[in-house]
Amino acid sequence: MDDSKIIELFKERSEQAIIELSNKYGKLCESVAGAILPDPADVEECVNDAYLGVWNTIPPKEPEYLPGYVCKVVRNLAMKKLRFNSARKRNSFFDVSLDELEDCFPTAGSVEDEAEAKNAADAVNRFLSTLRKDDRTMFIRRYWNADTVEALARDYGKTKHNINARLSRIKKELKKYLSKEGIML
Amino acid sequence: MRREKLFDVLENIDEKYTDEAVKSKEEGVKRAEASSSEVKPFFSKRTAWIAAAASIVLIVIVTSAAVAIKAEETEYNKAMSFFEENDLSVEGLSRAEIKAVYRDIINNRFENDKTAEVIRKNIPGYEISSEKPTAAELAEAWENRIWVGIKDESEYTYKMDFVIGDDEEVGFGQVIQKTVVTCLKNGEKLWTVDIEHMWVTQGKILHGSFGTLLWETFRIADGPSNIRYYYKMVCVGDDGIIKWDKLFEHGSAERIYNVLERDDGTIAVFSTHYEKTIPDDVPPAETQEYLCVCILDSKGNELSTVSNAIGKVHSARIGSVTVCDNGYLVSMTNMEGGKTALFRTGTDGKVLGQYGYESGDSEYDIVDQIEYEGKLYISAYSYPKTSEKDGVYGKFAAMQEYVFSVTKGKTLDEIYEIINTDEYLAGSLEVARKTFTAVLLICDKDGGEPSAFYSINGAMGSKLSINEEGQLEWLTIDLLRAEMSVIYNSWFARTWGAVCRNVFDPDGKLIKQEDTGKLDGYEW
Repeated sequence: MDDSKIIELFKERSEQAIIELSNKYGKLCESVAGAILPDPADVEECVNDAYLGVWNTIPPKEPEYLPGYVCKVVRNLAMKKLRFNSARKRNSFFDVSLDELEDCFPTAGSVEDEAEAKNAADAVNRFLSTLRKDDRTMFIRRYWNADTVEALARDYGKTKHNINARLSRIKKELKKYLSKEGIML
Repeated sequence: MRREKLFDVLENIDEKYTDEAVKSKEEGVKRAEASSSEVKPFFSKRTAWIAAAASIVLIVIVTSAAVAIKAEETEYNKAMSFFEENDLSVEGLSRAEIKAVYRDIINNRFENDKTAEVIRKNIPGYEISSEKPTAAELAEAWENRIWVGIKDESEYTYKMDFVIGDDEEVGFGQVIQKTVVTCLKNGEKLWTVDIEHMWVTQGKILHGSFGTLLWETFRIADGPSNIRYYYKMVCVGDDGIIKWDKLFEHGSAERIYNVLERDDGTIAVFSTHYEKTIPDDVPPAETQEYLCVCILDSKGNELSTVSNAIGKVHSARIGSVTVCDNGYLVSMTNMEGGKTALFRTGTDGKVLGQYGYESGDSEYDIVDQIEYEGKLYISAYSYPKTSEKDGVYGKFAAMQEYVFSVTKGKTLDEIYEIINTDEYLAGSLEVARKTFTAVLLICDKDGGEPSAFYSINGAMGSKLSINEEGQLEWLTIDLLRAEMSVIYNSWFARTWGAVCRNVFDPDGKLIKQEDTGKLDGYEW
C-alpha cells in the first residue's frame, strides 16, 4: 500500500492503518530498535509503542517521508529505553558505537554550557553535508542507528574491513573538522 | 556527562540526513526480506523462513557485539580478534608486532615489515610475487583476498612457494624449477618437500589414507604436429617422503578435474580428453571428446581406465563429482553452448545415463549433486535462456548490456573511474540478482526426472552435503556483489555473496534456513 494511503487511514482513524504500517515497515522498525536494544522483548515493546506513538501524532502531523518519521519515533523510544537500562548497566550495541565516536570530539574539561551540544550538532551537520552520500548514510547508520559493521558490509556490498576503514577515515576527518571549528564536548 | 552530550549531538542530526540513512536501511531490510521470502517450493515455507531470518539477524548482532565489547578492553584483544576473524597467523609475532600489524592493516597503510609477512602467510604464494612488495601491492592483495581467501577448515592445509629460473635447455625464458610444498595439520607444520619441475597449486591436492596426492597436466611439443599430453602425479607420505611419482597418458589435451579416494583405498581420477591423434590444444569443433575415469591403486598402478565418448561438444569441463549408489555422478559443462549435464557412471567409470535440465525460459547450470534417501538432489542456478552461439558466457548477457550502457562512448580512463564507483557496483548487483536464481531440484534417482524444486531469487546454488544428524544441507550464495570486466581480451565475471544454509528432512521438506556468516563466490 502507498504511504499516502496509509497516512489517509491514520487520518480516518482506521485501525487498519496500524496493520498496514506494521506489514510494510514492521521489519524496518524491528531492525532500528534491534540495533539499539539487545533484548528482543524490549524491541517488540518499543515497536508496538512506536505504532501507538504514530497513531497519536498522525494527525495532526502529516510526514512527507513516512518510514523516516516512523523510524525516528522508534529510535527515540529505543533511546529512552536504553537510557533507562543504561542507568543500571551499560549493555547495548549503541554503547559500542558511541565509544567509537566519542574519540572524535576533543575534550572540553568542565564545560557546562548546554548550547555546546547544539553547536557541536550544527558542526556535525555541516561536516555531513561535505561527505559523499554513501559515506554519510554509512556514518549515520553506524552512529545514529547503531547498525553493526556486519549489517553495513552486507547492505553496501563491502567487506567488514572496508567498512571499518571507511568509517575510520570519516571519523578522522570529523575530528579534524571539529578541531578546526573549535568544537569540544 | 560527555556521553549525555554525545546523545544530544546525535539527536540534533539533520532530519534530511537521518531520512537518507533510513532509506538506505530500508533497502537493506527489503533485500534481506526479498532473499528470504523468495523461497517458492511446491509447498511454501515463507513463514518459517522469515522467522528464521529474524533470529539469524539477532544471532549475528549478538555475536559481533560481544566481540566488540570485549575488543574495547585492550588494543591487543582487538588485534587478536582481527587476526582470528581474518584467519591470519600470529606465529612468530610478538605482542607488540601483532598490534602494529593490526593498526597497519586497518588504517590501510601496509608499511610495517611484518604486515607483508602476515599477508604472505595468509594468501597463496603466487598472489604476492615480489620479495619486497610495495604498500600498494599489499593493499591490493589484502583487498582481493575475499576472492581467494575463503577460510580452509580442512584438517590438512598446504602452502606453496615457487622457485622459478632460466630455462637452461632452450637458453632463454623462465621455467618452474620446483615447488616447495609445506603440509600443515590443524595449522601445525607436518612436512616440507620439494617437487621438481612442477607447479603445484591449491585445488590439485588430495589428502587420503595414502598420504598427499599432487598432480599437474603437462604438454610437450616437439614441433607443430607432434604435441603430447600427459599428467604427472606425485604421492607424498605423511612423513614427508615421496612415495611414488608417475606419468599418465590417455588422450590429447587431457585435463584432470577431480580426484577422489574410494572406500577401498583406491583412487578415482576424472578427466577429459580428445582422441590421441588430435595434435593441437584447440582442435576443430567437430572433434569427439571423452570423459575419462581412471582407477589407480594406492601405489599409483593403473587398475582400469574407461574413456566415454560424450559428443563433439568443444572443450567440456567437469564441474563436480559425487559418489552415489554403485558409481558416480559427474556434472559437466559444454563450453561452446554453455550447457551443463549430469552423467551417471558405474564404479568402473562407464557412463550409464545422462540428464540435462531447462525450463521454458530458463537454463540451469548444475553446481553439485547428491543422492539422499532414495532421491537425487541437484543444486543449480538458473538464468534466462541464451542462444547456443552465446556460449558459456551467455548467462552474463544482461550484465554485459549494463556494462556497455554505462561505459558507452567513454575513454578508458573514464571507464576505470566509473567501474570503481558504488553506483556502478550497485547497478551491476541489481542486474545479477535479477539474472540468477538458486535452484534445488529433487529428482527421481534412476531417471533423473524432477519431482519438486526450491528456488531462491538473487542467489546461486552451492554445495550439497549430509550433516551429522542425517539431514540434507544445501548451501546457497545470496548475491552481494557482481562484477565483470569491460575489456574483451581479459574477460572475467565474478559473483560473491553470503552463504546461507538450507536444511531438509529425509522427506525433502525444508526445515531450517540460516546465515552461515561466511562468504563465497564464483568466478568465470
